[in-house]
Amino acid sequence: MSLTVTSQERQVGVFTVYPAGSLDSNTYPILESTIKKIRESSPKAIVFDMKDLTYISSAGVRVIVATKKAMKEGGGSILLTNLQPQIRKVFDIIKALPSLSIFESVEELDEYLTQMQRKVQEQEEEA
Amino acid sequence: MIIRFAVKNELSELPRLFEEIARLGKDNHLSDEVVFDLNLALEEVISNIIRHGYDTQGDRQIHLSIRLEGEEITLQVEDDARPFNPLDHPDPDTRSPIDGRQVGGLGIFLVRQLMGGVAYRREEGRNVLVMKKRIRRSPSETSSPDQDKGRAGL
Repeated sequence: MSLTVTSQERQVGVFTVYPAGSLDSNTYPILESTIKKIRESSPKAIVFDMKDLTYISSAGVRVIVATKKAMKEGGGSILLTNLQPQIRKVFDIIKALPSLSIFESVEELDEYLTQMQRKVQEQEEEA
Repeated sequence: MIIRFAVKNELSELPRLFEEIARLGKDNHLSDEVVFDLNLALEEVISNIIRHGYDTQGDRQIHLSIRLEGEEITLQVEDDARPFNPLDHPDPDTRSPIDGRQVGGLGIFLVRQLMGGVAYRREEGRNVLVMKKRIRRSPSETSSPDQDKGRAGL
């Protein structure tokens, strides 16, 4: 079971990361180093698109949680989308779901980001 | 049926372990969900042993057996590391938001949730962890004869 991670900047300051394969005790460093690189550009949000992630263990969950914590500290956020049922189950078991922003589809996620953008613009206009 | 094999105390053994479980799953018509659960439980236990168990360097063997009898799967993991009962460690507090929690007990917590029963004993200088899980199987699968396959790992 291996892991490949690709990423792209979807909008300015919003990076989407695609972990594909197995995120386990062996492979989590690959995701960690991708996140580290992304964080060098101080992103507003990091999206984990899990459509090709077939396996996750606590080691993988830890990377995601650590990313959330670090982003939160910098005023940013993380969002998750396209969780396969067995992946969702793991997050569900550890009851992490309520404190993570999970989206059913990329469309839903895009809508959310657009709304966020709009809110920020409205606040700036009021200022 | 029982399969037995051994892995070295190295995380790089995990892919081989997953292959064995996949094969077991295929041979015994286990659902993808059950195969996933078995992989996860074994990975959490074994990575725990590798992280916490050994005071000295060098290759050690972790012995696994997987028994499938009717609707029950029994996983047994045996190692000769220092006495370590993973069940002694407290469950993570699932009421507090995840980024505030200790992540130490996360793996074992997952194991306990995925496997119906988990028990530890120390026996003749070895840690023995036994995990059981009830699984649903179709009538045609439970009627196969009991086979004892002993397979030594590398």
